Amino acid sequence: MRNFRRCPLVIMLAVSFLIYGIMAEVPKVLAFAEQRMGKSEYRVENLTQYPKEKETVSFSGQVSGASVSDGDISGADVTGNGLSGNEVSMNGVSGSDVAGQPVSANNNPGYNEPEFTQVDDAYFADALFIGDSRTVGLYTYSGMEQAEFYASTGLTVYKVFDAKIVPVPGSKAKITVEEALKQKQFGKIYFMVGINEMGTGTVDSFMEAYAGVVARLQELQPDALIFVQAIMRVTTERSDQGDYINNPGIDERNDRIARLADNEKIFYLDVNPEISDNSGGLVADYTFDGVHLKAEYISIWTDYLASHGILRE
Amino acid sequence: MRDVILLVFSSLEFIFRFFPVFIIIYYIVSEKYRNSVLFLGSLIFYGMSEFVYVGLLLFSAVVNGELNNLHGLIYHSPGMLLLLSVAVNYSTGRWIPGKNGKRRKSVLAIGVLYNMGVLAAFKYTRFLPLPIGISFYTFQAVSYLADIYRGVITPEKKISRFATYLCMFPQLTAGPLVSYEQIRPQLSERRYSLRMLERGLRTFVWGLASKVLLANRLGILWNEIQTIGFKSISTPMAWLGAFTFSMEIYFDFLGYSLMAIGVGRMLGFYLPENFNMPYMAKSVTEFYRRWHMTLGAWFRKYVYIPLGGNRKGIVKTCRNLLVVWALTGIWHGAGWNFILWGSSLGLLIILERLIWLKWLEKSRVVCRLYILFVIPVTWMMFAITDIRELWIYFERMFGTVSAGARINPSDFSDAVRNYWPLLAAGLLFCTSLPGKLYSLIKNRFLEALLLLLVFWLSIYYLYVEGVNPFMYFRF
Repeated sequence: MRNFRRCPLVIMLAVSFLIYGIMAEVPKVLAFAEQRMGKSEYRVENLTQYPKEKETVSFSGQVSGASVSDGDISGADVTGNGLSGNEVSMNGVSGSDVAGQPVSANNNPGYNEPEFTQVDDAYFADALFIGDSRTVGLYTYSGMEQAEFYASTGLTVYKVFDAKIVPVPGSKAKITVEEALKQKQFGKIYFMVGINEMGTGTVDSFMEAYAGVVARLQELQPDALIFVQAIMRVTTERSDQGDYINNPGIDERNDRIARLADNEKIFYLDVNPEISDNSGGLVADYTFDGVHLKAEYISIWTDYLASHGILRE
Repeated sequence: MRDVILLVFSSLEFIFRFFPVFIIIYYIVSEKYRNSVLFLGSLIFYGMSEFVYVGLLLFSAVVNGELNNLHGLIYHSPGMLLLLSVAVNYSTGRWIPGKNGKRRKSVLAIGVLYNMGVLAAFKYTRFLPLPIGISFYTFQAVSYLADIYRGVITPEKKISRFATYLCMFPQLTAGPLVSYEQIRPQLSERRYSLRMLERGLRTFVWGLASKVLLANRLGILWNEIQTIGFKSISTPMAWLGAFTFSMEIYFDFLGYSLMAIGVGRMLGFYLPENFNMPYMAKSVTEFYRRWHMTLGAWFRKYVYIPLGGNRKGIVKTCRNLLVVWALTGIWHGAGWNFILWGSSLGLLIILERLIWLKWLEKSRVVCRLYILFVIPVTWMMFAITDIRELWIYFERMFGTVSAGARINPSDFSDAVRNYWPLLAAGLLFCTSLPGKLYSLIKNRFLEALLLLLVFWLSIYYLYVEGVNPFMYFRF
C-alpha cells in the first residue's frame, strides 16, 4: 500500500497492461484453437468465383443484382480471413485496355457506340453527382453550380443509399440519399465510388453491391441517364506503397464497372487517360497525397465531363 | 541488407513490447551492468537487433580483406555508422593532447571534420537515406571533443561508457541534446526510486498525449490543406494552415522531448528540459530561448561564443548571430527553404537587438500579435520545402493574388467547424493555463488517474491509426 502511494500510475498502468494483454491474446488463442479444430467455414465464402473478361451480362432495363455465371476462378488467392481485396490476383486486364473505350470489352449484341458530345453548363442543370471525397472535391472546386451533389468523404457503394448526407433546404436536418432520390427526379446521375472499398471484400462483392446500386438508381430514377465513372487512379508511387490502394486493383474494378454500360441508359466514363502519366498512375504534380486531385486540376475532370455529354432526341 | 526497423516512442511496438521488456531486464540486473544493458537495448532500439549478425559479417569482411563489403555495410546500416562514430570519437578524444601539448587544434579539427563530413555527406547528398538521429549524436560527439579541447572534461577512458553516452536510446533519435559533462556523473552513479519511476512515467504519458492527441491530429488538417493545393486556398485558410502547422510542430517536438525525458527518468537519468512554452515569448529572440533549448545552448556554446559572441562590437555580434542562424537552418535540412528560414530568423533577431526588442518587452499586447504574426510566417518557410510552393503560399497568406485558381470561400469556416475543439485545445496548451491547473492536482492520486485515462486514449488513437490509417484519411 505504501508502494502504491508512491507510484500509483506505474502500478495502475502495469495492471491495465496485464488486463489488456489478456484481452488481446485470449481471442487470438481461441481463434487459433478453433482453426486447429477445423472450424473455418467462413473462409469458403470468400472463394466465390467471378467471371473473366468475356462475360456477357445484359443489364438492359432491370439489373438483377450481379448475375454472375460460372467463369474461371482467376486465382482468388484468399488467405487468412480473406478480406483484403488486394490479395486477389489480377487476370491480366490492364487499365489501358479499357481506358476511354468503355465498351470494347462488352460483347452485348445490342451494344452501340455512345455518341458523346460537347455540352455546356446548362446540360448539368438536371445532373446529380454521387460519390466519395473525390466527388466532394468536384463539388467544392469545379464551380458546377447548377448540378446537385450527394457526396461525402468515405462514402462507399455499400452504404450509398443509407448515408444521411443530403441537406434539407430550410432545415438543419439531413436525409438519406434514398429519401432524397424519392423526392426529386434527375436527368443525369454521375456515380463514382470505389477507392474506399478496396480494403474490404473482393472485386466480386464490390461489383455485386455496385450493380445493385445501379439497379436501385434506375428504379428510383427511371428517366435518368446513369453515368458510372471509372475509379480515379492513384499515383504510381502511392500504388507501389504496398497496401490495398493500388492501380492494378483500381483497373480491375474499372474493367468490371465498364461492363455495366449498355450505352442506352447506362454509360461508362473514364477520366483516367486525361490525368495519368506514362507509368499509368495519376500525374504526381496533380496531387499532394497521391489520391486526390489538387483543386486547381479539378478542371481536367470538369472538362472531360463537359466533352462527354449525351443528348437525347 | 534487410530494412532497418527503427522504434519510435509513440509506437505500439515500443510501448507494449520493447520498453516493458527492456525496463524489467534493466531493473533485474545489478547496477554495474545497467550501462551495458542500456547500450545493448539502444542498439536494438536503433534497429540493430541483428547486430550480432552484422558483427559477424564485419568480422569476416575484415578477415577476408573485402573492404568493399565493409564500406557497403557501413553505408547501408545506420547502426554501423553510429558504432563507427563511437570508435572514432572515443579515439580522437583520447588523442587530443593535454593543456600544453602541441597540435591540439589540428587533432580537434580532424575529429570535428570527420563528424561534420559524415553528417554533410548524408544530409546534403540525396543518394542515401538519412540515418535517424545522426544530426543529434553528431552534435553530441562534437561537443564531447570540444569540451575535452576546452579542458572542461577529461577524455573518457572506458569505451563502453562513452558508447553508452552516444547511443543511449532515450535521446538518440530527437534529443534533447546533452553534453558529456551532464551525463558522465550519471553514468557512474544513478539513484533509483519508485517516485522517480512514477515521475518519469507521468512525463512520458504527457509526451505521448502531446504527440498522439494533439500533433498527429493537427497534422490531419495541415494535410488537408496540402491536399487542396496552395493555389486554391483562401487567405484565412492560409493563415489557419500556418497556425495549425505552428502548433503541430510544437506538440510533435515537445511530445518527443517529454517522452525522452520521461524514459530517461525511468532509467535514472536527468535529461534537460527542451521547451519552455515558446509561444508565450514576447520576441523572436525570446522564442528561441524557449524553443528547442538544448540546440540553442549548443550553438551558443560551440559557435556563437567561440566566434566572439557579443563582446566584439555590434557589427561582429550581428555577423555571429547571422552565422549561427544560417547554420541552424542548414542543420535542419538540405533545402534552400531551411537556409531561408534560418536567415530570416537571424535577421529578425538582429533587428530586434538593434531596434525593437526593448520596446517589445515593455508591451503587453503588441508583442503577442507580433509573435502570432512572425512565427507562423517563418514556420511556413520550414514546412514547405519547395520554394515555388512556398511563394504561392505567401501569396495566399498576404492576399496578393486575385485571379487564377478557383477558391472555395467557405474553406476556412468549414475547417474551423470540423476542427475547432482540436484547435482550441492546441491554443490552450500553448499557454501557461493548463500547467497552472495541473499544479493543483500534481502529486495527487487524481493526477495518476487522469494520466491513466490520457494514456489509454492515446493508445486508442495510435491503435486506430495503425490498424486503419485511412480512418483519418478517408477518401
